[in-house]
Amino acid sequence: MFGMQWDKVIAHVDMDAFYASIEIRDDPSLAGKPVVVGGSADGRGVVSAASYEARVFGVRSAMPMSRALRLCPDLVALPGSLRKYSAVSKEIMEILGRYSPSVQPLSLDEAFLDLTGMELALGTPEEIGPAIRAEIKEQTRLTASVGIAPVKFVAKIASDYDKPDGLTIVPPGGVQDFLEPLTIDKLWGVGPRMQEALQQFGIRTVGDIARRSPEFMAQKFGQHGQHLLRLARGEDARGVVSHWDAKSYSHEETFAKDQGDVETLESVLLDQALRVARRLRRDDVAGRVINLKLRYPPFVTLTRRTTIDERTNDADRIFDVVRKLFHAEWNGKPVRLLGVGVSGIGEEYGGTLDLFDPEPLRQRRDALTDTVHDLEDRFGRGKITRAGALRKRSVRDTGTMNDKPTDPE
Amino acid sequence: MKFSLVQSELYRCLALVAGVVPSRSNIQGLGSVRVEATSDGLLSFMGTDLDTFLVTNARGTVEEAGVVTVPARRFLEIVKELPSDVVEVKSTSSGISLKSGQGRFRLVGTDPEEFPAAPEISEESIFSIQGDHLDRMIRRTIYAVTTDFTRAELTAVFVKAEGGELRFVATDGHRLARASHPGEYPDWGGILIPPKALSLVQKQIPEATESISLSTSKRYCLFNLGNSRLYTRLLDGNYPPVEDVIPKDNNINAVVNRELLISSLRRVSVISESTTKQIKLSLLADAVQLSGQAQNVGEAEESLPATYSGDEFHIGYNATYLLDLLRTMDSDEVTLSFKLPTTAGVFTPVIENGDPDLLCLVMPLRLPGTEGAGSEVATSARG
Repeated sequence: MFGMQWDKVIAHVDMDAFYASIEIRDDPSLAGKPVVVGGSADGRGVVSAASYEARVFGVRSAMPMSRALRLCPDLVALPGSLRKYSAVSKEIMEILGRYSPSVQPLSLDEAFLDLTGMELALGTPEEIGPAIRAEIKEQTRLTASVGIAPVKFVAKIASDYDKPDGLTIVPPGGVQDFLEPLTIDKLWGVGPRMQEALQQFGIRTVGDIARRSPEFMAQKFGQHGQHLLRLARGEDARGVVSHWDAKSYSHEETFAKDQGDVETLESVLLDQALRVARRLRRDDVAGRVINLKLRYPPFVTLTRRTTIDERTNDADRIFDVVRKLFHAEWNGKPVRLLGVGVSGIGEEYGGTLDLFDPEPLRQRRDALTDTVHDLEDRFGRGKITRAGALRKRSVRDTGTMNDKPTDPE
Repeated sequence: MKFSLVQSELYRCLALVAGVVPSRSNIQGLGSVRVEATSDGLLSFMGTDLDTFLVTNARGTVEEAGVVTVPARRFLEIVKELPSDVVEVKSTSSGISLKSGQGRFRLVGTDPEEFPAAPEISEESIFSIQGDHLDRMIRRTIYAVTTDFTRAELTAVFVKAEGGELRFVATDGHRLARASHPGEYPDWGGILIPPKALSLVQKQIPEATESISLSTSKRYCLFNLGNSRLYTRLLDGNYPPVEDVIPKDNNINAVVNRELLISSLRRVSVISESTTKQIKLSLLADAVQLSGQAQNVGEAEESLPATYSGDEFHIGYNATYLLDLLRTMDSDEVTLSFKLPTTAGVFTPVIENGDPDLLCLVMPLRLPGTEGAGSEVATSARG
């Protein structure tokens, strides 16, 4: 063995300007141009992804599209196709699945992999890293940046270190040296506020934190301070949580125009229930806590939850419950955001069957749902759905790209 | 108003009424008890949470008729601590004064005019039943009422008369209990009585042998319980067609001792997954076998003598559901009847010469192998 032993090997794979890169790949005339994917400027559209050419102008994701266009008048703004990106994402996650049974997707374009103990089968981190990047590039013609470290959050920082199209490996003995010069905003949990507060004590780099005493950090910043100190010293016990262990499944959407029509809103809830159920079923899990999220403009957000008597991953049951929560809560005024979530997750089996939902009937409905899901997988979302979820298309067609699954973490 | 009554009787009345009165309420006067004295010596105490009204009567010495409303709990607390003597209650300009032995108390009340009136229901009874029988019908069904508000129509006990029998039915969608009381009851629609009212009824049943009658209006029903009357708002909604979901063709039958089954279930369920309480019930030749298994906990298996001669049969259950229903039976033996591991099992008490007056249905747990993919991961817990 050379150097220090790897206790854990964690990789973070982050696709470079994912949505924009896919668009450029599929339309070579866009190459070299500032490209963004996002909602339209006249709605409430925001930038979902920006090519590196666009970033030169200061365009960033999550920025309002109108502002992006002011910064870069020549910007090529595309509406994007979540369906296409999902399909590419699936390809990438499949590739990652070949390297590790433990893959934790954070969104469509990034994931953690636990590569611990893979040396014999796949090689050292120095061999696996390039292999993953090469395979993604070969199969999807897209570039990924990869960070590999013995600590989870360090792997994430490392993937960003040499982005785009980079590979950064931080070996066990090198974690301190790697973190030391980084500015504190690279640490998870340090936002602008925290950054300002830390700077008041002359703390500008991760190394500055690492040199402080636990007593100092606890006294000035409480528990969070102690947590930051542990991170700064390269201590992060969190492991890779593959989708199996995810604690919550949810789906939410911000509407381009506030919606006040009850049938439209119910249709949105049904569509979201279908999506959440689909992800639960794909993972063979079910949940007992049904969550509703509701936002009135501008930012009044309500969340309501209820616990049902048995775990479910049945879209009809989820919809039934969430619709009741909605009607108990809704004041009849236009709504800006709706979301459906299921938590209290456990294995699908072990629930007592429902008397009023005979097993043969339930199995037939399950089979139908699975068939619909298969068709969606093959032909894309929106090609087939419940009649009840159709009305919502009018919402989606003008919708923003904020319509993506929320992550469990 | 002025009356006197012995402490024990006054305490009994107030304690009953306090059971209905909400402990916290935004509505003025709702935490109060309304006390009315009439010149013929009748004292009536009423409390409500607007869904349920309870009126209970006592006989005292009335010197002056009248009505007052005073905070129920405070009144109760004072009376509870009084010596067992005669208590004199008198209205004052602001409420009441109490006199007992050396003690003098004044309680500020509210305006009796603002106290909600009990619903009007004709006294004509729909049916009557002996107190202990009513108590048993309630006990045998109330546990199965769902607490899941998203299934609103199941949050009550369904009461009806059919085929000469009075029937109480409750279900939470996973189990169902149907208690019957034979008689000559004419067929009669069906009403949904909230469980809260029924447990209040249970507490008020005066004597086991006394007859209790029920009358209804469109939105309320009234239990006439001797000295007390309990009005309750009925739940609005359509009860699902329960008779349709009770299997008629379960042909795998076994008979087993009820007490043995209960104690065995209690032991075996100690070793089951804590959330699902899953146990496996197997019918073997002349035996019922129970087994439990939990990861990192251990395994359990017990066999009980039973009357059974068919093929081996295995079904998964939540042990808590089985214990709940077995405890509501009084018989020595219980009949278990099944058809498939995925359909409802029916449990009935074995009654000599006569039909069982109770039917308990429980849905099984979903076992791996009862449908397609995805069961691999789940098998470890069930063997």
